[in-house]
Amino acid sequence: MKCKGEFLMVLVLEQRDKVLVEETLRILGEQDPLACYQCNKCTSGCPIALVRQDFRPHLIVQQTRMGLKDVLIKEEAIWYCCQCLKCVARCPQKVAPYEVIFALRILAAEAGYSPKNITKLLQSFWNNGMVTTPMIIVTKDFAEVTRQTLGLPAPVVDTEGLRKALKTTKLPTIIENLKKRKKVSKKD
Amino acid sequence: MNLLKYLLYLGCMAKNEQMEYEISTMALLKHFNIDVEYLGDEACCGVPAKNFDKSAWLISSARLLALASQKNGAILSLCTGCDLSFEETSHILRENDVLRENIQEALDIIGLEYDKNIKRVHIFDLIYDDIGIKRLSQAVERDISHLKTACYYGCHAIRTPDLHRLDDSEAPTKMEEVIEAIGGQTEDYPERLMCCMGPNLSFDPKPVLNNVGSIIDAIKNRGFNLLSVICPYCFKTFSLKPFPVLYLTSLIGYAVGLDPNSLGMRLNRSPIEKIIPELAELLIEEF
Repeated sequence: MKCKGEFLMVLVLEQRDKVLVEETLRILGEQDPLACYQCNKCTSGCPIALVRQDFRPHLIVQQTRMGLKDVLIKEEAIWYCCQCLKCVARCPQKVAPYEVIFALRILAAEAGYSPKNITKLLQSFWNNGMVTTPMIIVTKDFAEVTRQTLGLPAPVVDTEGLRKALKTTKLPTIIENLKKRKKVSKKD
Repeated sequence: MNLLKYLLYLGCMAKNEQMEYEISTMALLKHFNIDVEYLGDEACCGVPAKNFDKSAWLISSARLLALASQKNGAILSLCTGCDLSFEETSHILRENDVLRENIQEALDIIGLEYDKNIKRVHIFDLIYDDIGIKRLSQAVERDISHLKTACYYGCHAIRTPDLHRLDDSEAPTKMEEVIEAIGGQTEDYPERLMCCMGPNLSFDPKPVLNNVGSIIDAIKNRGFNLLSVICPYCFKTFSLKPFPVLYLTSLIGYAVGLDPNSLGMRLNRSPIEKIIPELAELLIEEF
């Protein structure tokens, strides 16, 4: 006879997206989320987990293992990671939640989910070849200066060359798709 | 003898909004007679594309690395994020032959060749290895013993341990050695390996401000009066709070006797005039 807990587990496993682990593995290459044994080292050292109750790297890996793709790619949580790489350095199983999170971001973007400002950075990268454009800076004594007035050389950016090389990748299609971007929801 | 020439690559943050870093670096390298020229292409290192397509990121970084090897030099970055991107790319492409061939196919279109022995160097490597502790301590002209400096490495400078980074990932000491060599005070403190959360600034600023606020509070309580950084993102986030922050290049430049104006300190919006009397005088004079 099955106990209640086991029965619930079967239900959850029935609903899961069985290909998610394979999908993440396709992007990851080496790191296997199935190797994670939930030791919590990543979360206990994570600087974001310190200031955000709703960001727990080990749970993201666990949800990936369970195949909860819909929850993961539609919510904002995977976009909170600041790439400090502490979890990569500390993971005893070489799973690296950071790598899993980046694989999930790629899957989210393929499905059309991406936060507004991160999408803007990508668009600026594609249009200008850099994520920000030259700015006017106000100094301590309230003078407005630019690279030109400071006597610094104007930056040369070979946007054409960069785009030509990037046309071999999926990036142009992704950028086109993200024009009809779907909103990423806040975690409740 | 080092036969490679250094090709300066600024990165988006340093070139577009953090000009102080570039100005102080150039002044410092000139002072120590180190030749440096611009790489000549300031396109992004590709990290923002990493969120969307891994090969787009690798191509963007590999393209800049190939450009540097075409000019027969080592790529010198100011931003530790760009530097990590170059290191990671060259690590991945050294290990993975299939991926390297794929990336090379994309680079063939623009007539570049990727060399897997390409060298990357960060301005901190240059200060520590090329100028060196001994030359730094001999060059000191100004007394900065009143500055108790908190060294802040920033995540990308020290992680991950399997890549060639600027210092050890859990117990770095090089920046402290530099500060002591130029006559400043410093000491160990628990918050120095924290993350500034800078990348989230554009997207979710509230927790970022809480985070830097608590780090700055801790630093103040430990009696520090200056924070020294080597990453433009760390600088940007920490200068949001009213506490003196300086790039390590500016601090060294000040200690070796360079004029605060020639180090670009006027562009620094954090309250450094409290601890740099020459700058305060300069500002009063102009007023």
